[in-house]
Amino acid sequence: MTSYLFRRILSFIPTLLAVILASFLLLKLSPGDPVERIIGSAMPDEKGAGSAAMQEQTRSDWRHRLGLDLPVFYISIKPWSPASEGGVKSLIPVLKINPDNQFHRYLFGNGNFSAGLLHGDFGMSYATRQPAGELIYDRIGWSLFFTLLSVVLAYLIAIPIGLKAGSNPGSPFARRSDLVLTFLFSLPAFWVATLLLMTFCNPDVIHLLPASGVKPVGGYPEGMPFLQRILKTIPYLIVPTICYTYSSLAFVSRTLQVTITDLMKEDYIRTARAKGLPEKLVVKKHAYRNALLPVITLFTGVFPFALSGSVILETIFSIPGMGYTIYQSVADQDYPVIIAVFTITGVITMAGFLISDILYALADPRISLYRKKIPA
Amino acid sequence: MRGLLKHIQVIKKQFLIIPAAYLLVALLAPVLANRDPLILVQAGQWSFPSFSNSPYVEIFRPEGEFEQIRKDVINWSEQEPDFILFAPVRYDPEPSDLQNSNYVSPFEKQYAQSSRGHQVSLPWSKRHWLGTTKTGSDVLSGIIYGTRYDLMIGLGAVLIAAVIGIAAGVISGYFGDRSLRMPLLSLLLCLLLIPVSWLASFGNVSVVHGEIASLSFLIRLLILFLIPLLPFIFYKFLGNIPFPGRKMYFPVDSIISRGIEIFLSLPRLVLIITLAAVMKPSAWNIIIIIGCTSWTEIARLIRAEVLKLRTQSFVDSARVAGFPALRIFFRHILPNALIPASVVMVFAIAVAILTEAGLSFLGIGVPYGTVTWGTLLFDGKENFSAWWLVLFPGIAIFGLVWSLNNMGDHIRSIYSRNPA
Repeated sequence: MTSYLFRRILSFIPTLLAVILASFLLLKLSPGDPVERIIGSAMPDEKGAGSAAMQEQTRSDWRHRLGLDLPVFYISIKPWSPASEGGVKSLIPVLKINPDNQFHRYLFGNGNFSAGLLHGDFGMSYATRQPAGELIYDRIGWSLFFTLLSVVLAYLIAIPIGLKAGSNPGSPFARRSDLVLTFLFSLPAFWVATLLLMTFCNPDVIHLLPASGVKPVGGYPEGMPFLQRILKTIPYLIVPTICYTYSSLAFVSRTLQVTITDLMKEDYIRTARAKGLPEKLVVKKHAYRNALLPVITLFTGVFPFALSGSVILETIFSIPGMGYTIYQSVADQDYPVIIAVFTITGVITMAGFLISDILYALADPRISLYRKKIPA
Repeated sequence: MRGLLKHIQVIKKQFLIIPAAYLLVALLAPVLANRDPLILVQAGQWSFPSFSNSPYVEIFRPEGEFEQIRKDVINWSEQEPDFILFAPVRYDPEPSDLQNSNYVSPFEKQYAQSSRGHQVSLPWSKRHWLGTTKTGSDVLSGIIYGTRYDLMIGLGAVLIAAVIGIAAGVISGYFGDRSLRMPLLSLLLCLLLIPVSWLASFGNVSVVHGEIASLSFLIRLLILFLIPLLPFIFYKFLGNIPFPGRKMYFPVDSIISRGIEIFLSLPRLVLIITLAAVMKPSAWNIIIIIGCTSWTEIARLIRAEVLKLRTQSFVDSARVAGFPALRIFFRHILPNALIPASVVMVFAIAVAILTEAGLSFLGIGVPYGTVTWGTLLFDGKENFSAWWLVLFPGIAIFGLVWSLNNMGDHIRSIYSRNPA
């Protein structure tokens, strides 16, 4: 068990590195000059002011401060002869090793201006000139809240349906639930969300629920007790929760149904039947317990699905979460924030994988005994 | 090819009808919705204005002369051709109908401008059956052309995903960790050649700005990947060199499986949005982005299938019969592995279309002016009273996704009943 845990946690590292490398690469590939963006958007009055020489001075100051004058990576490849000469020599690579480079600073910071990714600094937002990390940490709560709420709700509803339908395949209940679940599974969540908003939150049709946001526009009245605040918030949560939940519900339920249908063909079920157990006990004691194991693994599928699916839903409902942030940043071409969201979502997703794998290993003794392979 | 046909024949007709109908609409889009007449016969001469690229159409006058009129201003009710055939929907998605702009509902009164400049009500043949958008584009026409666009994105993305996924899955499943033997020298040379190929294709400024500047992106990509592969192509020759040429095992399976695991733990939609934001908005970029991020499922499945098939007795007997490895591989293993993968691919088309719709719904990815189902929904969310902008494109998306999901389920049930 310990060795399995150790191995699993160790395998977290290359994945983490891959996410960090990918985010750095994306940051480098993003169009536009960061210095121009920072000067242009954050200091509109300074842009036109001063002589050309002064502007140039500001630019090179920022370039130096952001470390853009440094080589990009630890290793850099330069052609043997200067680029202008051309010929075969310019195709021969020479490796250079740079201890101080942009990636190093991206990770560890440069001591005074930025603290680096590993200390939670994701660079500066072009649009607001705030640290990108701060922007996101303020908003991560709502994303996690809706994701967790929807996943828990989806599990509570999906498990009984999946178990019941899967244990008697071909029964009317199974056929009906199959039909409904496929239907739900195929409904695009953003479409349902828009339709629900159009019908139930539209002053022209039925104005039952508020259309956007997660709390009253003017904020809560002064001195309102906590419980009343919750009551006031609930109407804002109903429609988003429905939209978040139903697609993961269909996913979990369908997968569970397939699992348990396969499980009913196993030898030990036949043995249980052969020794004369009533069908109810066979299903309850032998099938359900084993079928619930993969549900833990399903968590790994549902959690990132819900987390990244929230980009569209948060935008529709104007929920101030990470998804809404990424949408706004795409509109502003605010690349540091986009990439920061990408990194944080990646890390949360990976943590979800890690936790569910560990839970699975705790629940199923077979796992930790064998070397882990990718499930087929 | 025959195998593929047989594979399709097994699927019940009822599961094929709806996807086939969508495909037909996509293929026939210019015939189903077009502003210009499909067939025009005047003075015994046939012409097809909707299929010519010229912005003018030639109109014959009874006096025997002809006149060139711009297609976008011509009023067809004034002309008197011998025979004229219009498409069922008389609008293109893009040039908008200014008389009916600003969200006209399907049931509202729709207007047209008569030749004298009066506002008259629109004849039934030219009605906007599903309403218009803010700029006055016809929604039905947009949905018809959107079908084309969305199917192209779905199929293209899955094609890319299938190529990458099948290659990765087959290599890792077939060779495993302990059967691909290559000279060490090949690997070392490959590592050495990577920077060279980088300089030769993208890296070297002088080459880029010099004579090879005209090289297209694809050729550069080819150079980038081909040069490092050379030592592997000439591995037999390199294997003759005594020490560094000694053959060793390549753990391809471990490498690819690790890669898949890493890829799986990246948040897919966020990655797609980030890439789409960083890259230039275009249909091809969307196809490439979605394709390159959805190959993992296919690769995993193919790998598992190949692992299973490799030990089957029919493969052993083919080997005993003395067939070459490549033949065994292409005739016996790959076709059998593709069948279960086709289920995943059908689901993947649905997911790709949903992803594209979601992206355009947010206004990310597709270039401005392209009409897809998602961009129609995007217009609809701006104005909640324009229910037709949300309802109809949504039904189009749902119908396709639902029928594809049903088809996938059906294929899975066929092959789980009698496994290959």
